[in-house]
Amino acid sequence: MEALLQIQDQLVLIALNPWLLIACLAGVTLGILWGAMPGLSTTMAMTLLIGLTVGMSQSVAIMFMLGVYTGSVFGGAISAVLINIPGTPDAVPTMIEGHALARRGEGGLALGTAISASFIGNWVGIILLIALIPAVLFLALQFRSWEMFLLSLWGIAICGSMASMGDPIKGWISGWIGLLISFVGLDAIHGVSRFTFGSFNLDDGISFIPVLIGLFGLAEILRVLPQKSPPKIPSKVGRVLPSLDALIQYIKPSFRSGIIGTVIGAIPGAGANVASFFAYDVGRRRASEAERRKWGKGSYEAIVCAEVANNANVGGSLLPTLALGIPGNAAAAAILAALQLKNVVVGPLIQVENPGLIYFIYIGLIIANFFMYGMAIALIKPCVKLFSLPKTLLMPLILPICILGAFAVNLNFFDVYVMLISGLVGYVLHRFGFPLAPLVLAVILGPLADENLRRALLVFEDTSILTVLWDRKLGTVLLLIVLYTFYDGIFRRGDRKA
Amino acid sequence: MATDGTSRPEDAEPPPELTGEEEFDERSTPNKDLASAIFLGLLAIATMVGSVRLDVPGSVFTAPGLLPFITGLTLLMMTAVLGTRAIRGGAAVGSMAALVGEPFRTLNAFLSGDKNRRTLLLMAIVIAYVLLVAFINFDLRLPTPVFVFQISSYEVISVIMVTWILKLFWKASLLRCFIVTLLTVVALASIFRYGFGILMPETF
Repeated sequence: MEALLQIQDQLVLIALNPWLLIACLAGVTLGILWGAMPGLSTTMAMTLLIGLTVGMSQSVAIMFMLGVYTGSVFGGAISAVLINIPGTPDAVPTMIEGHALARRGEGGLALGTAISASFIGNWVGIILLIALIPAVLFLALQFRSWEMFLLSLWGIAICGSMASMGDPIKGWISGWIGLLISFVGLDAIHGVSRFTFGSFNLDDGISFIPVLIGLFGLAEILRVLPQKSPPKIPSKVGRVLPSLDALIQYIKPSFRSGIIGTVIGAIPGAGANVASFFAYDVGRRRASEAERRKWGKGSYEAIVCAEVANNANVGGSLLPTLALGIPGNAAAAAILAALQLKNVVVGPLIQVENPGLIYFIYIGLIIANFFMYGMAIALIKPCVKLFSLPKTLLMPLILPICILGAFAVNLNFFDVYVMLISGLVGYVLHRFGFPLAPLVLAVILGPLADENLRRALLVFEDTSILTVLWDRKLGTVLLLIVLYTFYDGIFRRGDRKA
Repeated sequence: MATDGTSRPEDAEPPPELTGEEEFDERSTPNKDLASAIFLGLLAIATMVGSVRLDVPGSVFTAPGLLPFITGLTLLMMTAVLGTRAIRGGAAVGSMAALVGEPFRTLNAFLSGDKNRRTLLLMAIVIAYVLLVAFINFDLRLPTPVFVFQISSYEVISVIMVTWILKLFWKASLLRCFIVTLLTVVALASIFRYGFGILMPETF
């Protein structure tokens, strides 16, 4: 009841401030256009636009970033269907099915189905976020230093496993490099200078926002720009909106894929890409014999499965971000960054330190979802025109945004150097097969892990290990989960690879 | 396969498979893995040495170098696994001469690729771009009847460098590259400066 009243209050607040609605609409529009451009990912959109939020008020910045997130996750479907290039990696299943339909002259309907599925997916994600967050917050409040350390460690480990499924050790190494970066600066307990080499700029530590911009902005430009890609001719759009009857028959796969998307979104490191592929695969196994035959050759049900899952992922990824301070994926890390810039401390005490903020985010997501539905339909035709713009034109124009975005965070040019070095290192790591998301997550979680481990060890100084394991049952469960994650990565995935 | 027995290009391509949350354009090779393992192994050892040399103001349990040391140690173990796997996978370690010559051969192979040469050129331009923005500072103010229009070194350098990159990669005429860049940079800087009150990089 109290939650409903809070949501109602926030709704009134937003309705009375047109700037919030304009910011959200602008975010959704930018997000859709960005996501629709081949090669420009959701994470890239989010990281580069953080700089822009510096000059916004807290609520406007949150609405803007939620709009960008919601819009860009859907945007990838447009180019996937019309030019057979996924705008974002999670749109690959939609590309397989949607472009096959577009070649048959049903591109508009395939896109319309993707828009409706995205709308439904967002709703499932939002509802599950609202339903699950009190339980996760309750659980999070039981965490002490030991549990927080284990949770941070698990976040990095699972992110490493999920980001590089065939080779988890590379994902973990990437995470460990991120941890090393996070240790630079004054230590939080004694104020001892660590790995600063006498540089005053390094005393404050390395901010994760320029690292994020470097890894997902500059490194992406260095990777994509030198590739030669011929321009693609978009398929004809045709009729867009599917009939209600057509949508009703997909209720069951929608619900199933929505749950898959939300749960996967809540696992650190596993984002929309894993969610859409997994829901697509489960959908194929569960489909009727007749529908299964269409899979891979143009199935509307397959589009529904993939699009519902990758959009439900938005709500899911915000669950650990808001309740635990552990981003569900790299895009959620950008939301975390935008919140931190506005002095919002996320984590178990979010309700105490920022009363009403969670409800504001719920409403923000709901409004962004409605805007996404409307703008997606309105923007299909302009997007078709945008596809004629080559990557070799778009990518260089993003470079000045990388510099401005990195600088705007602290108005310190040192951050631009951090962005440059991160971009170069990110490019090399990518060429050597190391995923980048675990590195970013570790830079964020490193200070949390470091401080909490040392506090926990001080508390346990005169206690035997067995007593700790018995007395701190939640910690023991987390320890087992961490050990299982490493075991699974080393042995079971190794077996599957062989 | 089409019914007439000929294969269509779209049929010939196998559907992409999920390899994890992040996609890679190319597969890593044992040689690359071995090089990564050696470099990161050295980094791990350096971290461990650096951690041990840090001051310990209180109990050893709160030592500032505790987690960095553990991280370095576990990273060393991981790189050992990566290196061992790379050698088993056929990384070139037949003789010491082969091992020493491998980085040069890899570099040679890297530089012989057109895409790699373009990437290196792009990296050099980006580094030059950042350094120019850092070291050249000016701020011009042009008063108009309505407001004072500002042009800073950031905008000027951005226009020059991005035009250069566009000319190299987009391959349109110089004038077209210049106009596109000018419009984009001025619009972007105006949004940041006038829209959100954010200072430009060189205004200190």
